[in-house]
Amino acid sequence: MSAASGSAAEPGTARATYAPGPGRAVVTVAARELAGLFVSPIAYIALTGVALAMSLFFFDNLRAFNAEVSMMQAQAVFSDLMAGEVPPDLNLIERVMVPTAIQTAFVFLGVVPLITMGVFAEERVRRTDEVLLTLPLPTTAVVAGKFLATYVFLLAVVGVTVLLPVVSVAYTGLSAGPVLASALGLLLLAFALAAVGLVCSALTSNQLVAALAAYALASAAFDFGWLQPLAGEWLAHALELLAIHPHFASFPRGVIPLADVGYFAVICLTGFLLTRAALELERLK
Amino acid sequence: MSGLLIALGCLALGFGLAGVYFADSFGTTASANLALAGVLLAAAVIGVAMRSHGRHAGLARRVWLGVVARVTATLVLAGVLLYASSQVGSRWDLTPETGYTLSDYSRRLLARLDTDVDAVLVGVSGAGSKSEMLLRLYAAASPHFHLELAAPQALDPMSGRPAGGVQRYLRSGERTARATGVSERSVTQTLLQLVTPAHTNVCFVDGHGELAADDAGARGLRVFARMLEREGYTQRSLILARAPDVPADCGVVILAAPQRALLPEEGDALNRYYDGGGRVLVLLEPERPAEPVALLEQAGISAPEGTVIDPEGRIYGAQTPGSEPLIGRFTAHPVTRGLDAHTRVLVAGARPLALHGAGPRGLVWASTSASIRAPAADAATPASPASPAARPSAIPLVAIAERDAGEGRVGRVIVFGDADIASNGRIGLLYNEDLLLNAVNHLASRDEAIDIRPKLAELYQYPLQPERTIGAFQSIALLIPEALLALGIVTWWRRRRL
Repeated sequence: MSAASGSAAEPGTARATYAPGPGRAVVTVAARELAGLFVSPIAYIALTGVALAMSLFFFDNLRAFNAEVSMMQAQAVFSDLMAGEVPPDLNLIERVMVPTAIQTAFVFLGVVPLITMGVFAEERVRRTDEVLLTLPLPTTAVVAGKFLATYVFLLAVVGVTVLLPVVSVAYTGLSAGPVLASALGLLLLAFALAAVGLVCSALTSNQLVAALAAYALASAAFDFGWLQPLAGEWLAHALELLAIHPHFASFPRGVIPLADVGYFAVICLTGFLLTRAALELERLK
Repeated sequence: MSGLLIALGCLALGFGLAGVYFADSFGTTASANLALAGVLLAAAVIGVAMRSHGRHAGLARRVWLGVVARVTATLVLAGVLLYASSQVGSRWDLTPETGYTLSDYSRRLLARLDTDVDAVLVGVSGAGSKSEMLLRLYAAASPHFHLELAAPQALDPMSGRPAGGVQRYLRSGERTARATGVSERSVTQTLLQLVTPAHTNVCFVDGHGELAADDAGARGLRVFARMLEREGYTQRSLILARAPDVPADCGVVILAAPQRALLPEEGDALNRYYDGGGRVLVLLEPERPAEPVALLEQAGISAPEGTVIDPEGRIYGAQTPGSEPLIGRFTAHPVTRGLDAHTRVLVAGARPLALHGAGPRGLVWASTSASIRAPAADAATPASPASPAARPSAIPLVAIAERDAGEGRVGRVIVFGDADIASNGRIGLLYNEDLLLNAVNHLASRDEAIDIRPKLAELYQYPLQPERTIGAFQSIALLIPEALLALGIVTWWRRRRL
């Protein structure tokens, strides 16, 4: 830790300002943000909503899968089903894990902007942004702290959503691999959506506008499949490169493509840099 | 003013995109809306940049320009990084059987590809479907394999009518074939059929009540015949009584469990064919003791009557334990390449074989605890395990014999003690098709085509038991949200009291 980072001053020297190190500043901002989140019932309501929605999706898909497999087995008994007639995509991964993950992703599209909308916008409304921006903290540390707090909260959200699949590992003998990959995919998706939401929150003082803008942007970018047949080859390729869903689709199947991890990392990094630019502009004003 | 321009720009953008989405085309209204959105948003940005005035106007403009430059640089960097990351091919398949990774068989087939193949995916409305994911794996494995996503309402390229649901077509030159399933097995088989030119004629002997290549019933050979076609074989029936000799265009002759014995002249024709370097696949059945005795004698193989009972390979639920055993003992040979104790075949009532002399070789063996049940014995009666004669040290179930025909030609005969292994009901089980197709490939001197093919079996095709489902639902689906909500109420209550 440097001399200017909050350690005890040398005897006989005066310290003009309090300037914690970058790491400590990030943690301080994050802790403040997290404390604000968890002392309000909003965080618990969000967690409950996501957990409940995920549970219902999971069991609904499981019930449909059970019914279909049972029907197929009954048919096989009565009709001497020829080997190879069972549809290959009739399995737990394709019929339960994948649809549940997609439905959860749609829930995240709506919930994550609600979590991020107040991170910067609320500071403006409460006029605490001026205090934050005039503190001797680098803008990068402030933004990193806000991102860290949001990501820690989203870690808890994703943790709640994968509880059910984890239990199903114990119950069904489903391998841990697809569950882990699915959790990683949901986490990366949540992080990327949060990055978009934080940029929107940093650009406005109206929380509703921030949430709506983040939701609109993420929804529009979720899947450009409907535009691809109308676009030329080059544009179709570019749209596919940008769309969220194609980069998310492999994870619930137990596959982790490095390219898709890179995609989400780039979205997070871009969101971070744009938020930082927005905040620096605010600071200059 | 800029805020208003941004709001109007977003409105025009939203309606423009909605117009494209619902009309499936860039109509006049949609295009006008999109153009208007571009103009309004650009005007808003320019307006914000020019808004600064007074003493610090120059400084403010420089700050704005700096921010715009930084944002532009960030977006360009993001684009470059996105493109770079999309080029990374590494991936980890965490499914226990690497079910989303191409098998070595498909990879080898793709590596051999020297003509362009276009895969057309019709009827998929969104990205990320299993079909698309699967076909992308093929495209990534070969520069000759290209994926084309057709519009959801595109026509069936084979019939010219609406495709109706998700369809996968493979096209190479003038040839088009449809992959019927969404599995690797289906796509690879279609690809194989498309790119493998017809090379060998397989003749199915007919006229003695044999299992028929056009029979779609459980004991027919229609699936086997189709599999042969996919591997580049053409097939036709052969009536030995109509000609004095086996026609020269028969690269491989298949005699599948005849019910009636061959006429002497028919047997002679087969013998001459074998002597002259012909290739014969003989499939036998315990309840059909009409084997081509003369041919087998010449090959040094005999087929005693009875059924092999192998208690070591018994499967749960079989009518007679050990009569339909799993077999995992193979002699190292091109026909059995890739087969071992983990990649077994499932026979159903096999006739024992006996080898005479040094010529013939056993390829597939029952276990040492196997015995032979006499044909007269009741099906429910187990074979006498005590009789040494009934329990030879090892019983071959598949054997091969070769004969030098001179001038570099080699006659070859492969005998299977079980014909049901090739039937429609059983060829798809375990590694039966690999053993059979590899035997035919070896007979046709196509050892390079011998391989283990991708399997249809999928993971987790078992339903969850109801009591477990309900147990998991009650313990997790309800308890966790309830606990979280309770925590929220406590938090709210404590804050209220502060």
